[in-house]
Amino acid sequence: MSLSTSSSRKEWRIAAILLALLLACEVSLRLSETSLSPYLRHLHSLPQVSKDLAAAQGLRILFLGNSMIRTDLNLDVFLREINEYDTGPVKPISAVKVYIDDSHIAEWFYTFKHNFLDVGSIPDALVIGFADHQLGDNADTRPRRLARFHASLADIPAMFSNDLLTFSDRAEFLLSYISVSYALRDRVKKRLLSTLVPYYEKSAVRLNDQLWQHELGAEKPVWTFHRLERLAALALRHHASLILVAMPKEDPYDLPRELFLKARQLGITLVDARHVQGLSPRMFADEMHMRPQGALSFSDALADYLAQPLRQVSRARYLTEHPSRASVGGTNPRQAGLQTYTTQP
Amino acid sequence: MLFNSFQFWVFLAIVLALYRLLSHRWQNHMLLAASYVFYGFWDWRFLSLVFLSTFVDYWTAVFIDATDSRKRRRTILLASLIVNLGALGIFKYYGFFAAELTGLLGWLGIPASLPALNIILPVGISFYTFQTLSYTIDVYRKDTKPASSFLDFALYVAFFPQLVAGPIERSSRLLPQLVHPRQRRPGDFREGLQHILLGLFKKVVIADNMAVIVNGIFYSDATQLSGAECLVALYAFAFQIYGDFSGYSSIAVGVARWLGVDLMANFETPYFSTSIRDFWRRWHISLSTWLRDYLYVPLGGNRHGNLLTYRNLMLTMLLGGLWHGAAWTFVVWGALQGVMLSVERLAAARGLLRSEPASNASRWFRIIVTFHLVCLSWLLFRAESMTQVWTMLAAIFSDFRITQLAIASFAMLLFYAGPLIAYEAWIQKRENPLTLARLNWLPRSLAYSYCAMMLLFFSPLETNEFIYFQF
Repeated sequence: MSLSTSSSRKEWRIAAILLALLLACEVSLRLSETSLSPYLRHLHSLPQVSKDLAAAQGLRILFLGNSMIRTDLNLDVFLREINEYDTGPVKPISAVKVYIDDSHIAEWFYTFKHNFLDVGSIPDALVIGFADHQLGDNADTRPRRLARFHASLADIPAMFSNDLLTFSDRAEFLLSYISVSYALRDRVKKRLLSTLVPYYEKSAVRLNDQLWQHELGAEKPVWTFHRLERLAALALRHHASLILVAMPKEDPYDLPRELFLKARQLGITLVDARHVQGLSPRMFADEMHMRPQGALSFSDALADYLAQPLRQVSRARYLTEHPSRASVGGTNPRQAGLQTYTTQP
Repeated sequence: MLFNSFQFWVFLAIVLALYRLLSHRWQNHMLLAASYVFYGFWDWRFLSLVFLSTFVDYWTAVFIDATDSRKRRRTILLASLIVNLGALGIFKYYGFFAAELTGLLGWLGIPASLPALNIILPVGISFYTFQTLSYTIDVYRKDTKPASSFLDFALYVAFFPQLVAGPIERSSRLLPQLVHPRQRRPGDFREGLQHILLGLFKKVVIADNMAVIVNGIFYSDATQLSGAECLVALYAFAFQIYGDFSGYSSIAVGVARWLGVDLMANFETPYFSTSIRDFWRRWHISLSTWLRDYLYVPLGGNRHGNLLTYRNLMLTMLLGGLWHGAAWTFVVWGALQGVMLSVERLAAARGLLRSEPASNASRWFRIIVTFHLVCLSWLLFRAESMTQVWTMLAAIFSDFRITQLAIASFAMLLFYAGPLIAYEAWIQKRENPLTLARLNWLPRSLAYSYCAMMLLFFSPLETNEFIYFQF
């Protein structure tokens, strides 16, 4: 046997071991994906959440957002309170909530489309909970998460022309579509470091906060809302009313004036819930997320805020289902569902 | 195009496939075109600077070689220096000096406003400028013959693995490898792979993860930081800059090796140095040897007595500092290196410091002291201002609270950089950086699997640029 043959065999052995290891990782992650975090379990439950919404009676509300929706919205309290209001002719109000940690408008758009609209689960109202910059186009897209949970290959043309514009993002998307290990690598990293490094999560929040503040200070962002426009158009096409809720944070924050203008231009209801009476800083567990006591207070207040917009949504659906009543009242049902309830900055 | 991007690996796959199919002449043409594409991905407009440098230095070398008149040779060399250093000066230093001069004149009560150019720094300009300068100076000194083919010389200037961040190769070493047909050698793939994998690990796993700690702490209000947080940030920066730059060099060496070209090693376990002088023999070797051969020695080196030697050391290191960037922190960093080298030289002359440590314990003691001196100088390198330097130093020496952030950051530092330190201690002992590539397949598989897993799961979410691109 020649030296070079023996050498190349050794190289192949190394490649085979590497490949076997990668495959083992892939298989074990596919089997144990949901045990990585309760959040991943939630993402895996989205098909069921979608079915539940489709099967719900009355006016169907989909709450969609990031971890603020997870911690701040107590759905039981909200439903109990909202159903005590006069919320229009379609009753009762049913709601589900979907939260994607650390997510922005791009992920909400595809989640709404992929997990709800594409499977025929269309809510009467889509309520987006957001803060800061999360509705702006400046927010990063997350190709790995989109690939794993919120989009399919059929979404590629739209995604590649609107959201994943760089070669790197597109490659990330395709790799994540094929490989769970690749798609979930940040989850694995977080899980391992949380176990191995003392005070990891607290420190990571502090470091990321500094990085984010520095990035914000580096240049004044130019606010554009093309993704919001697309979401509004998508919702309109499916007769779902879009309602935006600016969520409270521990410290007050500003919203760009452009957002209010855009909401008005698109005819979207924007509820400014940044300052909720009775909600104090000690009701927050950290800068963004409320303690259960804060969630009770906020959910109660949210029912109050949403009562009027939901009454309009309810009326719009009723008129759509009973067109004869519409002609009597002389109201266009679509317009009725999309009246603007914008709080000025 | 970054070495740690998907784009680059697709690009490299195409280049390697074409490379295998072509004859030597066409290989060089293809590599030149590929190098321009590689550079043009950043900003194609700055390719004109690469063309200018190539054109000027090719022809000045030809003209220098064609004449025996010392005066004429010197005039042509001067013209080349003016063009190359002029471009570097305009793009890299004009803004800094214009702002400083305006400030100085204002302080003197003379209102002045120099025009601002607002131009971005062309990637790699310091590297290829120094590379072409060394070529022209070598031809002037008759140390090397001018390139016979313009295309070969253009490839020497633009060879993509080392174009934007070195190693700064001498023509005597790289040019012949490009001119003559390259042979496929048995170890090329294996050793190239080791360089590439190790380079990616250093850049993506170590440097990019350290960057989160370093930037998070350096962007904080320095007055609110504890000494322990500042110290951990310094350690983290030491590994960030090492991982970043040596990682880039390592990938460059590995990629070149896959193309049958040997580039020089730019780093040799620098954090195991036993003195600052030793550190400069192991850190950014291509720059430190360049400064030695084209600045320190022509200034007189150590040939004219102690005082002039110290002056030469200071001047060399000051300019070395300025090479890294147009800011006072870099100038002070260079000055500090010069002072430390001078003090070491003085201590050695007085018999207070042996050139080699006497025992193992003394070796480790010196390694730890040298590492901390280097870290201290990195503070100047990384800090945004001299105020931040003083505030952080004050915190380290007066308020050493061990906070949760300091503990978490130190644990992350150990998690990411610990295995690299152990690996470097091992190759330091073996005295061969390619020891891993020559191991049996099983330990090699384990080492590569570890690197691959870390790259898969512990790379940052975003692709980060290399620090040295800004120099």
